[in-house]
This record gives sequence, C-alpha cells and structure tokens, in this order.
Amino acid sequence: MHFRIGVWLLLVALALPAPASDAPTVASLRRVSVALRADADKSAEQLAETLAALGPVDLPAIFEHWRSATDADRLAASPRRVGLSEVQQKALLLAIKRMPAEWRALLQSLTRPEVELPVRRGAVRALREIGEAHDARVLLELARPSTMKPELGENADEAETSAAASFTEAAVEEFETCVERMLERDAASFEQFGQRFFDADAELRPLLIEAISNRGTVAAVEVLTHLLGKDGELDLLLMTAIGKSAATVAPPFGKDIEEAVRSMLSADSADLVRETALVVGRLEDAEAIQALVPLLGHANRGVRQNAYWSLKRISGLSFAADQKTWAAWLKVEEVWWRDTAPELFDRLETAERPEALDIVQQIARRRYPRHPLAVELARGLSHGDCEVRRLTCIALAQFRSRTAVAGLLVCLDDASPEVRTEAGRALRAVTGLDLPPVRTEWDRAGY
Amino acid sequence: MECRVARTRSARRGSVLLIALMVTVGVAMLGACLLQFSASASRAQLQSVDQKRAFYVAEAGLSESIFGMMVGKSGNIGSAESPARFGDGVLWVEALKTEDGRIVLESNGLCGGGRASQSIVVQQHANSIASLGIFSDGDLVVRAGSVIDSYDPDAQLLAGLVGLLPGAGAMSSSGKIGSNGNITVQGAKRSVTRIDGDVTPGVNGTVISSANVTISGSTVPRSAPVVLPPIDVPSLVSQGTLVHMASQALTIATGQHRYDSLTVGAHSRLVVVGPQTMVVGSMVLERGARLLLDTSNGKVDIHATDYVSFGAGSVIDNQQHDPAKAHLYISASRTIDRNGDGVPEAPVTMLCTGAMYATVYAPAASLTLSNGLEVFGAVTAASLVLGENSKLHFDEALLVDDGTGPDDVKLLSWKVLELPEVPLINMRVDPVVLLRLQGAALLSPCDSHQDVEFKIKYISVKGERVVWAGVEAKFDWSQVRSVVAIGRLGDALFGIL
Repeated sequence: MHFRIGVWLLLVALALPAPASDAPTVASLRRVSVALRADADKSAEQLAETLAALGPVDLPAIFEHWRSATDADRLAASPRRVGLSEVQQKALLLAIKRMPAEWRALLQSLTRPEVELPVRRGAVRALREIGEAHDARVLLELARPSTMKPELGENADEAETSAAASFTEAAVEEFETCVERMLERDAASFEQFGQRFFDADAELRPLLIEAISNRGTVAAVEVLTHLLGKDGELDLLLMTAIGKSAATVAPPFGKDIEEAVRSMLSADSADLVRETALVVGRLEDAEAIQALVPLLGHANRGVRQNAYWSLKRISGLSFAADQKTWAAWLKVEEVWWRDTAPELFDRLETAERPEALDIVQQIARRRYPRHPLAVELARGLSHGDCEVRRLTCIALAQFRSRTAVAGLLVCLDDASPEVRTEAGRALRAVTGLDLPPVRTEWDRAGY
Repeated sequence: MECRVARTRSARRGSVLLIALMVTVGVAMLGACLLQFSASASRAQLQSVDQKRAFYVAEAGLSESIFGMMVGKSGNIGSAESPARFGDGVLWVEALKTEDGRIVLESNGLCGGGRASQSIVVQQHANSIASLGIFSDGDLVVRAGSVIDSYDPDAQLLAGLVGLLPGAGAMSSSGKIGSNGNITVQGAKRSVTRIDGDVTPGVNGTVISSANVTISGSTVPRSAPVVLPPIDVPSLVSQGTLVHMASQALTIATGQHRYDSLTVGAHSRLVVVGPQTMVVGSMVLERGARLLLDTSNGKVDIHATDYVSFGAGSVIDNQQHDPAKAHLYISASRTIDRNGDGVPEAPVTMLCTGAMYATVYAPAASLTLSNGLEVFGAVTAASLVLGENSKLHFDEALLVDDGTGPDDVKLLSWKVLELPEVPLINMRVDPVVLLRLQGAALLSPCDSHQDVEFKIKYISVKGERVVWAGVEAKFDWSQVRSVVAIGRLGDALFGIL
C-alpha cells in the first residue's frame, strides 16, 4: 500500500512542471538576449518560436527581459535608453504564453515575500496580458501590499505607511487594469474574484471593487451585490460601485440583485442610504418605491434628493418632491395592479378587437411596476388582430423595457408591414440601437 | 233627417287633417329645434377642442422660441403674414426686448376655429464660468483628507469683525463640486474627506465614495452636460521674456502686458498690480517663489497659453483675498518635452502651497492640485485631481453673472394675452386651409426663426478666432466650435463686435 502511494506521488511529481527558479542566470539572460537580437527581420511569432525553443530553463530570463522592457518606472528614469522593440516585446510574451504550466509555476514562485517589488509588479503586468480566471489567486498574492515590504513592522501605523509607500499609483493602475483585462478575457474571472475577495489583502479590496465595477456588466453587478453586507466598511464603496456598473447596463436586473440592494435602504448610515436610494433608481427596482417614498422626508438632504431622483426615474413621472403626493399615487397604482390588472391581462389575448384595443390603452396609461407591466402587455403581441399587435408595439416603445425585446423581435417577422414597422420602432426605443426593422440585422447585433 | 246628418258630416270633414297637420308641424318644429341644439352643442364642443389645441400650439411656439434663444437666435418665429405650421395649426412668436434687458415673447397659436395668445418674460444671461465651482470636464478625483465647502465672503467679513479667525464660522453648506464624468471621493481612517454640498457627476457618471467620506448633499447625476466655453486670449504685443531671479521684489505695474515666458526664480518675489491683463506663453514659478497679486485697485487676469509650472513651495498671494479679482486662465493643453530631457511635461503643474484666493480655469488641461493646498474661489479643468488634505472653499460671490459662462434663459413670468387684431385671427376659418389657398409656404417652426442682421465672434472648428457679420440665416453654424460673443441689430454688442 505504502509502495503504491509512493509510486503515485512520484508520478505526480514527475507530471508537474519543474519548479522554475525565479532568478535567471547570467548565461540564460545572455542566451535570450542573443536570440532576441539574432534576426531583426523576424516576425514576433517567428521570434517567439526561437525563444520558446530555448526551453523552460530559460523562462525566467525571458520573463526578466519582458519585465524590464515594460517597466515604466525604469524607462522614465532613463528615457534615452534604447529598449526592446514592440515586436521583441510581443515575441517575449508569446514565448512565455507557449509554456503555460511553467510560467504559472514561475509566477507562483514570485509570490514569496522576499521577491522584490519591481519583479512582482512585472508578474502582475504579465498576468494582465495572459492571465485567466484561475490565475486570480496568484494575482491577489502577487499584488498583496503587505508582502511587498517584508520588513514591515508589527506597528499598525508603520505597516500602513509602508504599504502605502510600496503600493504606488502606478502599481495600483497595473493591478486594476490586470483585473479588468482578466475579467474581459475570461468571464469566469468574475466568479473567481468574487469567491476570493476576502482572501485579498484589505488594501486590495477597494481596488478590486473598482476594477470590477469598471467592467459595467450584469456579471459585475452580481458579484458586487453578493459582497454587500459582509464588511460594513466596504458597503458604501460597494454600493457606489454597483451604481457605476448598473449605469451602463439596461434594466431590469435579477430579483436577487434588487433585493440585496433594496435591503440597504434601511441601513443606519445616512451615506449608505443616500447611495442606495440612488442605486435602486439605476436598477429601476419598482418594488423599492414603497421604501423610497418615506425617504422623501428623511432628515438628510442628500437622501431626500437621491430618493426623489429615483422615484422619478422608476415611475417616469415628475410629481413634486412631496411625500403625500407620491404616497397617494402609489396607493392608486397598487390597487389597480392588484385588483384590476390581472383581469385585463387575462382578457388581453382572447378579447375581440375593440375590447383588446381598449385594454392595451388602459395598460399603456400605467407605469407601475414598469417591467412586470411590460411583460404582461407583451401578451398583446400574439393577438390575432394586427391592429392590436401594432398598438401593443407602440405602447411597449413607451415602456422602454428590455423585457419586451424577445416579443418585439418575433413581430419583426409579422405578416402585417405596419406591425413590423412599429416593432422596429419599439426595438430602437428600447435598445437605443438604430437598426432597420429586419430580423437578420437584429440577429447580427446579438439579439 | 238623413239630410241633416249628411250636412253635419260635411261640415266636420277635414278637421282631423287639420289637427294632424298641426301635430306634424309641431313635431317638425321640435325636431328642428333639437337639430339646432345638437348642432350648436357639437359646434361648441369642436370650438372647445380647437381652443385647447390652439393654446398648446401657442405653448409650442414659446418653447421653440426659447430653444432658439439658447442656441443664439433672436426668438422671433414666423409672422402674422407668414406663420409657421405646427400640427394642424399655425403659430408665430414675437420677441421684444425691454429697456431693462429682459425679453418678452408673445406667441399666437391658431388651430381650426381656436385662437390663443400667450406671453412670457425671460431673461437671457451667461453665468460666470467660476460659478461651476470645483468642476472637471472629465473625471474628478478627490484624495483622502480633502475638505470642500463654500463660503459667503460677506459673512466671512462679519465673522472677522466679531473676532473670529478668518474664514471660521463663515462657511456655508453649499459647496459646488461637479464633473461631466465620474467623481471619485477617497477617504482614509485618519484622513476623513468632507464635502458640504452636492456632488454632481456627469449625465452617465457616478460618484464613487467609500467609508470615511462624508457628503452632505445629493449625488444625483446632472441632466445635461456642461459645455466649457473657450478662453478668449487678448491680442497683445509681446515684450519678450521676463526672468526674475533677484531676491528683491519686482513689480509689474498696472496695465496690459504680454511675455513669451515669465520665470520667477527660487525664493524670488514678483508683484503684479491690478488692474492688469497679462498674457504669458509659459509661466514658471520656481521652488519657493512668490507671486503677489495686488488687487486693491482692480482685478488681475493672467492668461497662460502654453505652459504653467508652479514649483514646490511656491506661493500665490492675493492681497485682497477676493477670488473674483484674480483669474488664472490656462489655455495650455499640450503634454510635450519642454526641457529636452526626453520626458514629456504636463501643460500644468501646481505644487504651490498655502492659501490661494483665485479662480483657475483650464478647460483643456489636466490639473492636479498639490497636497495640502487651500483654494478659496473656483477651479475648472479638463480633468481634475485634488491632492490629499487639500481644501477648496467655493466663493459664493462667484455665482454672480459676469457674462463669461454658457448662455442660459431664465423664465420670469407667464400670462395669457388678449388676441391681437390680426386678419388671420379675426377670420374664424381654419388657418391652414386659408393659408394654403393663399399659397403660403407654411414652414416648420424650426425653419421659421426670423432672419436678423447679426455679428458673431467664434472659435472655428479649426481653432481660429473668427468674426462674421450678415444675415443670421446665411451663417454656417457647422463651422463653429464655440461662440465667444453674439450681437444682433439693436443690441449693444452689435456695435462693439
């Protein structure tokens, strides 16, 4: 039994790439240098092939050449120095990429505290160019400010000062762009960074939040929302970052996201409530209206103004910032939604033309709750009468809800040219894309 | 006997017919009355609808007129003889300038048999560019420990009189900070950032803030982007280069001066006496240099066209502590190597310290204010970074209109007018039908803004300053990057331009 385990471990050890030494030898550096300058006319791919042929033993030297060629601080310190050409830099990176297991082992070895800061920053830059989702952990270790200065004292003030000194503006930018590129390159990175968020050093967390929010996708909003409420210190930053991401994505968002954000409206901190009041507006969360109306009377002016902005945005109405007016409106809308709307929705598909037209007009006059209302109104798109379908398209254009996109796309193939035209108009209003009412054009645009 | 009966019958013959005839006439009369009543009610209803539509057509005329004024037109649309077509009706607007500079807009709307006339009074004004407060055309970053608020200089004066420290107790809570992009407000445990007032990001922008940041106002995005007007650099003859290295203070007397470059050596002192208009190509204050702006007799305007470098520890002092009297207009924008070391220099570097009472306007340059700098006044730049522990106090006196900012139209009053005595209004026929019969063109309101003789001074798309005069309709607006000034026949500016 012990023998078998021993053999198995031996096999595993052999299968693993040889641990690359992070300090290249002079001879290795020279070999790479000679290979780089051997033929000036070679393309990046050809040069990369030559470099890769040197083997994993020269990988640290290849990395070192690339690192020093892309070190902005070093270049700024000696601007007259002739560096490597873009082709040579690209070739070095391609050569590194051709040895995936080896470069990952090399970068892992660079996470040791004694490795110098410029070298670790070089590793971060390398990940920026070639890193994928499963490199998230290595990145967070490489960028950890507290490991950048191994001589950090136990004194908290001293530690903070040293960390700040080591984590320069350029290093921050490199880290953030690295995270952004990894998220762009591999969508699984969102999950990886989300899972490893609290493994990251405290100084890195705000930067991670900012980098994720810069992506401006639903995935970014999801990751950030899941982090809400886990660290009170970060909640305000997370909320503003969610708002930043959400500003570039068309609503509606998932129920989980809406609920998580909405729950923060009852936070103790006025700053957090103020930002949450704004973010629910960006999410166009109709269910937040109930909580927003009382905020019009909040003691904090910022909270009141942000809540008012969101109410106008969610409802599409412009009442004055008066709590009573909004409360009265909400009550009427809720009663209609609860008592009258269900019957109208049921009759919409089967009613005869005059009644169906009347129902569409009744629904079109409402805006609460906008997205669910648009979902129900879209039933009119499958009505047998083309005039009902046409009017439904016009009404959906006013709702500007992305929930109607699927139904409107179907109407682009409608037998009636009037319906096709109005469906095209509605799609343009909802998506903001100026495309003709032709299905293939919309398919090409990713719809 | 038989004969009597027959005679009686003969006498009664036709009486039923007479009754029937009377009933028929009665019913016919009743029917005619009902018809008349119904037609009358229907006409009244139609008239009411037309009246309402005419009212809204007149409203649309006012809106179009205001829009025209905001893009530099006179506000006149069409005329009673040649109105503009809007929907099923027609409209025309007359703009009348009052003696106090206000503009009365009278709009007439006609639709079917409906007629309506409305009037509004507006005031056209250009805000002060400094009224933007702390503003960045791009992203704005506020580093940890910064304080941004505003103050009323009059209240400050009062506070000083009662023995408080200068500025203490006079700060109000309406600090203005905004951008056309995102705003990032950073804070740290031991360097709390405090902003008293609203933080207004761009239309699609957001405010990113973290713990240890306090914002007293809202963070709602602006509804429309702010267009920064270009700097109008005065044309002056250059007096060459001015380098002052001596320890003794050098004084530039009141007047207008232009230098290709101005350098104040380390720990040297330069006094600029107002009223002063100074244009410099590059302006360099070396380490510890001191620039004293003597604004006791008038304001000092400094235009830097190519490069600004305020070295570490340099100081800009305004004798009167009034930012409205010290303006630094920076039109520099190029990041190039200026000293031949191979490293490009940013167009503006501000490492000065202490308190600076001035308005800084650099619409084309990125600006980073040094850590710990305290500014009283306003700062506008293409992109702006406020260094750690910097303090910016917006002077509320800068909200006063000085004509340097973007155009704005303020609505003062609205009323419904008596219908004017115009043939088209007096004839109660459908104006569209009538005018078509007369062969009128019936242009849309946007094509009916009246031609006016006007003069315009503008920066062209090529960046050149151009003055143009002629009929407004013939002017090619596509050549304009930004307007410096507009004058129409009858305006005071028309003669000056």
